[in-house]
Amino acid sequence: MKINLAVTGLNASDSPGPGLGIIKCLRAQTRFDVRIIGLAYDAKEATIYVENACDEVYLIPYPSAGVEAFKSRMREVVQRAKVNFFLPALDSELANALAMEAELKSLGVRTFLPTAEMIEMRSKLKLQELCRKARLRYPQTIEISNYDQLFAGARRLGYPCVVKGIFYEAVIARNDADLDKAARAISFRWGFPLLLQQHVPGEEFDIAIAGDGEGRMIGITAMKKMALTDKGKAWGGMTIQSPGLFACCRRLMKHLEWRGPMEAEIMRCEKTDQYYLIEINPRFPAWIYLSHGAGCNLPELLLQHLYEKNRSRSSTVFARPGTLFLRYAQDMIISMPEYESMLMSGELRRGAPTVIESTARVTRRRSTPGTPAETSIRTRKKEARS
Amino acid sequence: MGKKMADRFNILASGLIIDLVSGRTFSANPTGLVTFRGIMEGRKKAQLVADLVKEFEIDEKTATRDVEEFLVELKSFHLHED
Repeated sequence: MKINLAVTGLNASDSPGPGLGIIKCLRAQTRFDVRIIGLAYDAKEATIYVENACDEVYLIPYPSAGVEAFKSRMREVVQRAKVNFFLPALDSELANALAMEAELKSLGVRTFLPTAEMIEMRSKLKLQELCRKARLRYPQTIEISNYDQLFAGARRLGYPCVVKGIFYEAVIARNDADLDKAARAISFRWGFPLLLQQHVPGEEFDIAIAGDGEGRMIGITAMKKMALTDKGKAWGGMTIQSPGLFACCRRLMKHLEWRGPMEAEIMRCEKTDQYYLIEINPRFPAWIYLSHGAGCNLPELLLQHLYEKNRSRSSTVFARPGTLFLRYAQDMIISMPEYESMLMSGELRRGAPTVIESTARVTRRRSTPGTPAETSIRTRKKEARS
Repeated sequence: MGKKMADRFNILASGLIIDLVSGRTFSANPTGLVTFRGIMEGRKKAQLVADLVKEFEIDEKTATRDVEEFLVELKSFHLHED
């Protein structure tokens, strides 16, 4: 079966998006004939240029540009690249993707996204309530609306405690000075409220899951983080099989009836051996290629669930434990015509000739969303000759 | 306990022990490895002692002390329970 699959999250920095991992999973499977259409926000997102990653790439506007800009560009991309499946890979894209879900369907593009309600339930502010309802442990957490509440909150929890931004970042504070510094830095970036959370000492696990939307897990890959970046992101890890961890995930998925990809972060307390849910992200993690290595290719399983009606829907596929991954950074030499094409036309189509106009004069170009250069300055041929 | 342990741990050819539940890895000296393999096979303490006596030609008292110390150490790492 042929699928023209559009995927985002192509940035491949030290805190990479999941796009490249998802693409590697899709390239590694043989069940579906997948054409990869990369959607990037910036011409410098490295996955655009990785060999054998994307067949075509299109720049799209940042989510902050609003839903209409996103819809307009997606209509163009869907038409040009004949997209028939869209897999957004970043949290911040989901609101726009959901707003366009019905229209995409009418254009012949399938999605498999969590609902707005599911996304709201997993937000940091609602996670405590979700855990209570799903009978999962969650570290004691206090919402901090201003600085005056900060130290009182820390006194209630005791040190060490964790200071969290409403969207991103978490820092362990071991004393008042740490707390003050972390709270100021995080609130500067993300604003209030902050969350102050009981610190759970122990081991951190990261779990990638595909949910079937009816409360079951299509597949699950659980990983122990073995190497971290300074931002706490996984730079290496190993798949594990932990009945306690799986039971938590099963309960979570059953309660949420989660549809599509999910990443859950769970701590096991070293003192009590109990599991605490820390965070849920509504997407695949950047390390998703490990799922393929461990025999549980989650992007492939997701497509199988959607496109192969005969597949058994009752059994969950578990990753083989003891599979190890390590990430590495690599320098690439980028083809200037490809970079130029991304910058100037906002797209790159491999196999198709890249057309760079050489007419001479200063023109106002039609703005391609996401393309940095709105005005292209071209030199008249005769001026260039002189 | 033996089957539970056998499901949980992988011992590689080099002697590296992988805990498939926690994702941690361990190494043990030769006597530790023999004892650990014995635990995974479900052998009782007396049998573990006998294994060490046979394998390493040490007296029973020394082997008993080794096994007991090793079991305490495993417990401290949450790797084994009585």
